[in-house]
Amino acid sequence: MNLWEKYQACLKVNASKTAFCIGNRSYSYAEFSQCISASQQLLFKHIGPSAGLPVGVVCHDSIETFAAIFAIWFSGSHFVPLHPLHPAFINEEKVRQSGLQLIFDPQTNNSATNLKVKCIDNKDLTSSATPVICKETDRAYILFTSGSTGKPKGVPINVKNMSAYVDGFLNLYPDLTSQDRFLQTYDLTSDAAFTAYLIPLLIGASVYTIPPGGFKYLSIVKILQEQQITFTKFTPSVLNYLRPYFRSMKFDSLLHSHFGGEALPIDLVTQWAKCIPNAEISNGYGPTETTITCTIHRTAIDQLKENVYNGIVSIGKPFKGVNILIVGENDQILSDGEKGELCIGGSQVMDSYLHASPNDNSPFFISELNGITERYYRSGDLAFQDKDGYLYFCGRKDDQLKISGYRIEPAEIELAVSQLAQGSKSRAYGFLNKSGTESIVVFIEQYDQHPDNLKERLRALLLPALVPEKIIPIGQFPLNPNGKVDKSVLFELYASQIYE
Amino acid sequence: MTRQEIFSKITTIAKKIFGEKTIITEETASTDIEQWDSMNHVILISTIEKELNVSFDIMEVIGITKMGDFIDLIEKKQH
Repeated sequence: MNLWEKYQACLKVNASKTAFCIGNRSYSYAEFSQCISASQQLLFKHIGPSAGLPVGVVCHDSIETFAAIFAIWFSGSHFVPLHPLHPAFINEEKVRQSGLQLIFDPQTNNSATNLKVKCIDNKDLTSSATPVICKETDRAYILFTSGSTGKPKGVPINVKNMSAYVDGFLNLYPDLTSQDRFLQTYDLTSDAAFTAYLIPLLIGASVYTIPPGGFKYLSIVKILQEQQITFTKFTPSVLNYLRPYFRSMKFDSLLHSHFGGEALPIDLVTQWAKCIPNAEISNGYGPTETTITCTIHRTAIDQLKENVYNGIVSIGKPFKGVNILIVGENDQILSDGEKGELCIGGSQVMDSYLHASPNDNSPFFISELNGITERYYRSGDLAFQDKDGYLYFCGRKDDQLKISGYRIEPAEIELAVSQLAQGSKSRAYGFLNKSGTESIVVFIEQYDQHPDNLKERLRALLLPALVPEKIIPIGQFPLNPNGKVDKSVLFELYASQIYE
Repeated sequence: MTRQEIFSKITTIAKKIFGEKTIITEETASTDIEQWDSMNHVILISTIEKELNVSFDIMEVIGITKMGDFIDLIEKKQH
């Protein structure tokens, strides 16, 4: 059964059940489907069925936004999310690179760009249309990651990639049912959002969204409490905001607390576990290029502690259909326990970047594993695999520091800082100091003692080359819209202290 | 502490975080101050807790939408 047939099967059984709860309004599967059909009819009118064209969606917190996404899929086209609050030039770059001729903007007319692109509004329509079944080779969506050139880089994901993700995810979560309530906390321009709205709609469960405005981490708590949410996914950084209030939080309804997008510190998640007595924890990993998530560590909290490296929880084992290699500098396959670049093969891997030259194979290489030759995507992440097959994320290859001939992982320094500073979150980065040599700066959150004392105490825990030159206490880490620490903003905000 | 004293202390803390020129009234909400983001909200609450020797639980924090809400909460905790 393909994804669209799965959705139709869900609709038959769950027509009157809540598909979405947005703001204070619930929408049944029947109402949502009606909205999809109306949007689809609009699409047929403008571009015809099975057109295979990219269609933009300005993503608001609205039923029309979700309906537009499904309508695009049901019409044989693929969607390109645009954020209404992102700078126009970024959205315009996405419009240009994707070749968008049509944009769904359910709330305001073409607010996201200044380009002359036809905008359609799918509000208040009631007509119906027949789904077009997508082929596995059709594109499902194009997302954009930050490129090294400063321009966003398009990542086209096909229906077959998305189907493989859904199969892999549901294979690991056979216990999810139509009774589950998922909390959708991510921007719809991030692929992490799919977990919390695509998966539930394929099993007849309900999706609860976070209203725009206000403080996201507080909205998460409010909805968790009020709506008896059973499945959450957010970045570990959200927990950092909530940590001061862990003592006053308890969510008995929560059964699955899933993390992704950032390294998951064991001390933080152990404290969080006390607030969610009935939940199990899972930690996922996956670059956008390999479709949402491709490895997961899913376990009870007491077992989570058994698979930890440098204070960071394992990213688990690959999904069914995903193959992982850890390779060295010359793409040689490394043994268990050896650190190298994490490379991903299998049906979740994208074909190529948008507009990539046919001869540019740099993101990929061909290798053989267990007698099967296939194409692997180089993630740029450092990792190792233990003898039981668990994978451990060790940071970005680019972030790995080389100081005085030592190859240094920032996580090793961050763990030592955390041990001396009562679990305070920290980040270690390399920078060129005044004398032009590579050095280490550590930013530490909510630390009210003198950093020089911390530096002195670190000398007892770290090799001399690993002791940071600078330790800069900060209020809170700046986060990007997906909840990850924003390194560039951090360096901009504290430039004077870093380079003084 | 009187309501006025609490307001005065909170104003001093808020100005330190959001800038000395920021206009603070009991009705000032996060939407009125550009710098009042998630990060500064955490700093504001933890500084108020520390300097006024109070402690808020998460449901109280969720209910705070404007400066006056801090004063109401602290007054309630004094009684």
